[in-house]
Amino acid sequence: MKMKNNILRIINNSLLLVFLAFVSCDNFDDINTNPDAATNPSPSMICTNVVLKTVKFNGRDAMAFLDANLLAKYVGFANQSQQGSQYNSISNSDFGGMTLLPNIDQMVKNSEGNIMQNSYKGIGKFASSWMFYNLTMQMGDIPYSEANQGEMGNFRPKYDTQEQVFIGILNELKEADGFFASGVTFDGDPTPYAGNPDKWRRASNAFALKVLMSLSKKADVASLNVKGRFAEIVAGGRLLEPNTGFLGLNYSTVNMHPLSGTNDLFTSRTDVSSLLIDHLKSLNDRRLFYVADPSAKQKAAGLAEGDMAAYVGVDVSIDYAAMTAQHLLGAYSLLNSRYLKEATSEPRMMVTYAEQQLILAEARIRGWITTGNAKDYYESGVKSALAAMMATKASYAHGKPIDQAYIDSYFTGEAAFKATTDEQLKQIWLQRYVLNFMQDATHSYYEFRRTGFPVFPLNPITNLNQNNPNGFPMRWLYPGSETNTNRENMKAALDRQFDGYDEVNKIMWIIK
Amino acid sequence: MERKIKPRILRRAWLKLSFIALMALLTPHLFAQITVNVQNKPIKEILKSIEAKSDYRFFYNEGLKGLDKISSLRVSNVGIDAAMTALLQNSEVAYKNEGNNLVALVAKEAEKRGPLRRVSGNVSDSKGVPIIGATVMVKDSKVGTITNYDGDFSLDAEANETLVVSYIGYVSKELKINGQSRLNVKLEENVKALSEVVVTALGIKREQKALGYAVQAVEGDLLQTVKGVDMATSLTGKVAGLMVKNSSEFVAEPTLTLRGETPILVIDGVPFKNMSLRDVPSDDIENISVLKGGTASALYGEDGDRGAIMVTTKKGTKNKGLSVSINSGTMFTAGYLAIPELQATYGRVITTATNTYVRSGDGSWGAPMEGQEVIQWDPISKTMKSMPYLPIGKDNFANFLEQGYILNNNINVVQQGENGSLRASATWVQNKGQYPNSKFDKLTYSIGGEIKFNKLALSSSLTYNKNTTPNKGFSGYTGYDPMYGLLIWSAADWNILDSKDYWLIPNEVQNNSYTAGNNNPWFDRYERTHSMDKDILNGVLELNYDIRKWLKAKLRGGYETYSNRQEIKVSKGSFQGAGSATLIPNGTEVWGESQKGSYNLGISRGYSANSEAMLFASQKVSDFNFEGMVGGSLRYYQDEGIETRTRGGLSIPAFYSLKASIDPVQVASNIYRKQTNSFFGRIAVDWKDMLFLEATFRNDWTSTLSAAERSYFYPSVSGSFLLSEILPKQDWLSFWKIRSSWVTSKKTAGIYSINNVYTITNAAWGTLSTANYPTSIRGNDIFPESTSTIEVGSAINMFKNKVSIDVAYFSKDMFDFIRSASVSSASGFSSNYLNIDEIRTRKGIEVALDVTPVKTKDWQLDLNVNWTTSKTVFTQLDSLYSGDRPWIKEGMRTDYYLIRDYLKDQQGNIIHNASGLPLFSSYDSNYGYSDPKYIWGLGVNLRYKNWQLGVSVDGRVGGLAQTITEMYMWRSGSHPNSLVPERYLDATVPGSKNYLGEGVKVVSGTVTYDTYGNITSDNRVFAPNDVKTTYKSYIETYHKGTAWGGSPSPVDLYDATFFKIREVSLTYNLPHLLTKKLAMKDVSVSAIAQNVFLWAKQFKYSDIDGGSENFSDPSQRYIGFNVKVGF
Repeated sequence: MKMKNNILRIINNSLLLVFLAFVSCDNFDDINTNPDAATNPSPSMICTNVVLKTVKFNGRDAMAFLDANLLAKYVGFANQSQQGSQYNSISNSDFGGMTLLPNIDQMVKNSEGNIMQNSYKGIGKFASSWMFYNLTMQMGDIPYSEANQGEMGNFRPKYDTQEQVFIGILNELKEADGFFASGVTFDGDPTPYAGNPDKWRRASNAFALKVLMSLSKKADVASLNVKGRFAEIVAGGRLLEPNTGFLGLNYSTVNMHPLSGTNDLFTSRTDVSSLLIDHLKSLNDRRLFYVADPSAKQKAAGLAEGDMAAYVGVDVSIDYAAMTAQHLLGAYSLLNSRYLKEATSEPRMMVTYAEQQLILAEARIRGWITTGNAKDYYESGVKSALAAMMATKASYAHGKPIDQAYIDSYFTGEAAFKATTDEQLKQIWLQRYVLNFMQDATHSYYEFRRTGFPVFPLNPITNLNQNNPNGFPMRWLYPGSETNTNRENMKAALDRQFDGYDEVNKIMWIIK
Repeated sequence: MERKIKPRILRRAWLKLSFIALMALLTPHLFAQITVNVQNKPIKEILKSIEAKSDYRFFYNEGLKGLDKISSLRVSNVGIDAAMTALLQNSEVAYKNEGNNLVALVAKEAEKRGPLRRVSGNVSDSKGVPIIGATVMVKDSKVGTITNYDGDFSLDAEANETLVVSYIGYVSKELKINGQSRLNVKLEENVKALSEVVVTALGIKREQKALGYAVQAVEGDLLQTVKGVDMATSLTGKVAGLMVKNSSEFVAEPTLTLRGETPILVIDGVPFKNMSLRDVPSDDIENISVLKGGTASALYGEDGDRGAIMVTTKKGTKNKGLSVSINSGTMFTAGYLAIPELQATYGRVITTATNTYVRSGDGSWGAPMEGQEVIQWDPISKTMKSMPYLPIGKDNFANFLEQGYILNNNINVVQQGENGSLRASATWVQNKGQYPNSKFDKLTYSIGGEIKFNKLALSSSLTYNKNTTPNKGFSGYTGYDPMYGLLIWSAADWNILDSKDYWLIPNEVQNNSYTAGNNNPWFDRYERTHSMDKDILNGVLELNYDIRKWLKAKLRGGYETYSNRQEIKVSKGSFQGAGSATLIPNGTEVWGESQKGSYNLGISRGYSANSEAMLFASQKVSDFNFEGMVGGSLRYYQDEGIETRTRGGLSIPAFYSLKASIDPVQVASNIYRKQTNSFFGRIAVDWKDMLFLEATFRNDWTSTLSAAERSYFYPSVSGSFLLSEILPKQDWLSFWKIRSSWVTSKKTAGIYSINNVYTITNAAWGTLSTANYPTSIRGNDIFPESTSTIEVGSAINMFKNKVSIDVAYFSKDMFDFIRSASVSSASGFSSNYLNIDEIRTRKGIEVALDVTPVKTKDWQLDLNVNWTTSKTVFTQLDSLYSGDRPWIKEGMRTDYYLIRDYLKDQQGNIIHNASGLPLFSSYDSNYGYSDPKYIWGLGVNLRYKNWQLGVSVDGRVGGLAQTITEMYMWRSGSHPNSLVPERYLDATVPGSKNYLGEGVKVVSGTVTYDTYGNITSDNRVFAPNDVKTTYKSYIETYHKGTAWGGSPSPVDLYDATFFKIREVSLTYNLPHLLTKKLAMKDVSVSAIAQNVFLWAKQFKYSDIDGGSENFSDPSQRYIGFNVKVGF
């Protein structure tokens, strides 16, 4: 009997317990809270994210890093299989970069009442304009005024004309200048600027000059006021100085250069292009020894490492099989081995004094500014670029390291500032091209689109630009996902720009 | 003689152990004589007192009158007869001592009947095994008894009366006494008949005929002859609607889908979260019943939404006493059903400048191996030297593979007592895989028992599982499977047998023909390892109490906990890291720092607890039988993991420890928790055992939804009708039933998925961490997903149950999907997390056919066939979120397979570019569907006397799958079909191009497309392609595709049709006379084989059984033997 009662009691109690558990769902919210995720992070942590999304290489691997350099004819890739980008195959771009925008909003929101807020606002404006600039340069018209309205329920933003996008970008950069001007040193900056708002302001303005220069074909469009904006920024005087340093990232053994430690599987097959090598040779430019290794064949023939003749570039437009055959003969100069062996071969330099000065030189020639002279701008830019290369490990320079004496005597022969503006512009463009090797290579492609110089090799037989074998593709396609999620707006943009056909040879407004 | 002694020793040891265990569990004292003193209590209570103080047990019909009569008993050390006589005098109850401490109570009115005579007999099953506890009643009276341990009974009855003998699971039998004094009764088992009792949701036992939905049962002994690593493999093709995909990868578990979705696994009534069928040894399985479709969910909630696999483990036995059985299976690899091959004509590319072959692992697109002198790596002298270039490694793969085997041994001991049982079982499975250093051990120990005490029944079981492997290896292309370096990117120009000494500098540099990409395979297996050590402990405790005759209570608790330690060690000097391998669930892919070496450690643990309380009631009212149940459950689980890895390499080579990290170690952790409270109920009614109706409901409260949405309700209704009961009796028709059901289910959001939180990345750059805002909008009020399923079916048995057919049709609407619906990233977000307004419908037909064409005393042939087809289609589209694509339309299938096809002219010729290479479209197109058209299974069982032959065959028809292995075999130049004459010319005349692709080229004109990829204008003029290219370039373009994502080229998308002879077994059961002499109950010996034969339509070099193909390990044929001994 006793046992039976006990059992009954246990059953009753258990039923009661279960029943009680129903009515108490109080802890459900706690159960469903992830302790490893944050709801209210500091603005500095969001800032680090925003800056890294902007200046860091965010591609998948070394091969992806090389891809942009293949497209811009810096290198050729032999022996494994043909890489489409080397042969002008361009496909869809991606709007994924725009997911940066809510992060910027949150960074600014979370810094409400924080003395660093203006600096964060500056970062936000800079990052936003950087992102939009790259997208519109690739595709043409893109969503801008209605972008980032997802939280307001607009999932199908209309596309703005490229002209309007550029006005927006330039206005944002102007705002950035104002915010940095009133900003204080801020936390969460992974770049060498370490939160210095003045350095950021200068870099932001230097970037604005770069954006404006890429609009050189639209210099007379009133709505943009390209020349006026350019002159205003230069007059403001808040530009990079030789000792400001670059906007970018320093690599370390933990945060390694993308080509480092890749086990020579991909990277050992990278041949430097004749386009780059021949130009460097003509300039008698020792950067040759830093970007390439001598050709094995030439070395075997007895040429010394320090002899420029030992460096042979590949015509990256030749047939892939032929290139591979020559590669196996050791005919070509490989990519300098420091990229493979060193974790910190060279920093990532996205905005530099060197490029700013070269842009100023071009602007001076174009008459956008009247201060300074083009030669000084040109020489200061090149010197800065040489100095940056000098700062990398000299042991990889094949016995011909860059030193100050070399820099001081650089401007002779082909490197000396030329007499005609036409030649001067080509000199400037060439120096910008050299500068962006293994850096912002995609930008060199945009510059090629604008200037046509240096002249990229073209071979209609190997050209993968199917619809125009005699030319280079001029744009990236709209994201494939847009046909699924925002077709009507994309179609409207295609209709007004490209007769409704999303195609790589169509000419976008900025280069018309 | 030894054979006899061993079991005895064993038996004695177990007897002792079980006795101790029983003593610990059962408190009653065991006395031979009776001493009781109870005053003024109902006779029933006094009987219980006797039971409590002696080992006598009373059996009586619950309705027996007179037991409530108040009486008294005071006896001391008397025998049972004395006690009973004293107790029952002046009552309406008589007693009968059945022997063996069993006492039956019957009404005294029996004595009032006509002249009675003693009738005795024996009840046994068809095999002659006595049935204990069978009820023997005199028809239309309340007189009856129960059979004893030998199946014997005796009672008093009139000479012309009829006895009714019944026992659960058997067909009841009526026997006229006709004046006989001894009656032997054989009861037929109800195995095939639809009055079979099956276990349904929450462990409710129901008769097949009462079910309004499809259930198929598999008896445990079907799974106990051919024992592989996983019992699930033996389920393949045995159940209509159940698709089992058996991967050939080492240690990979088979995946099960039921009606296209993953079913829940329920073990002894508890839906364990972390257990899989792997953790249940086949020898511990009593039976498996497969509840198809959402009907299971009606009572299991969201986890059972996709059907349930209900495993009932063995508890006691029918026969009282101790029994020991041993079941040992051994199988060895005997050849391969599918294995990749490597061409041995061409070797590596040779660097002409130095006459040295490239050592970076580029495949075999090089020179023909014709004995020419080439400077090569000599693994014996460990130097580069000039040697004749020959295909010395053409058998590398075969030489690398090792003899595989599976050992599966089980011993189990059962002590069945009159009021309970105890069972202990130990299983050891060892699997040696195809590759060196691949061994997997699985140990299972389980103990369980039942105790019946009056109206109380308690059952409990506890199982401990340990799974260990020193190296489960790395699989797939992105894991750098051994095939990556051994078959694909390798050439046949080096001999693996010369490379067994794999160090050049111990622990730092490999002795390897390659310097990048391809590890020395021996090095790869021993110095790049992924170990696992996993423990799982789970237990069930179930308490049943009969409160009243019509009211029963059940309490059940299930608990499981697991821990898993995994290590990945990558030696310094390895050319590959760990690839996409992970160390904890939801962990990050390791990849690792290959050449520097790395050590990675992941520890995961977790538990789940599931408790239920239920009340069952049943009542008969004239022709109606009512049953009802209400209950509640609490389900909670927690999974957590911590993963950590060295960075910057190992400070000391081969020092595998976090202490070896050069840079600070990287650490990450995760934790997932979820609780669901539920209230549920069921009501069932049947009329005249002919019409059955059942309704269920369930309400859940779940932690993963917001307070406003976390409570939700869903009902189901089902019914069945026995047509054969109203039709005129036909000789050929034994049974015909129709059934139908409607069931709804709900499914909640994922853990944390409604939270709008930032992702934190530690030390993203230098010491700085980042916070990233979600790319999915989470502001919406998410409510549960819903399904609504309608099922109709019919079961028909003909020709005395020799033919039975079961057909089911179901249609499941799925709606209110919780989706991260893609949106334009220009909105700032890549997706919007919400309930979308799309409806998908899954429809299917399942047919199960059982035929016994031959059944004689000596011969019996059983055939069973299962056939299933199903597909999912869009029924309604969400205008915003379903997607704007030509293949997303109402009525079209949802499992479309998208590719970018070759560009073709109007005649279907491939268009080539100026270099003579095939062109691909820039737009996706739908190439077919990934699900099979139908799946089928066939089982054949032939018995002749003591011999039994079993063969099972199964297959899938239709469905597309990418062949990653063959795609890479082509791309790397190693495919045996790539030996075309043009290749030889390419290779021997450097720089020449000799291959002409079949198709056309564009001479002039252009084509334009709209945003859907439709041609809007086209004035192209074509001519036959006349541009030669190299064979390598052509093949690389033609077989475009990667293992990293994206769609393959059409030629690497294969039809996955195949069939397999899954299992063959030939069993000989030793005659009982012989086994008796050996002091054994039964002995059987079998020759067994698993994975016997494969035919595939397109997959020739790899086994597609696993459902997808990515460097599938060679598919092994297993042949061996099995011995079962019972004592």
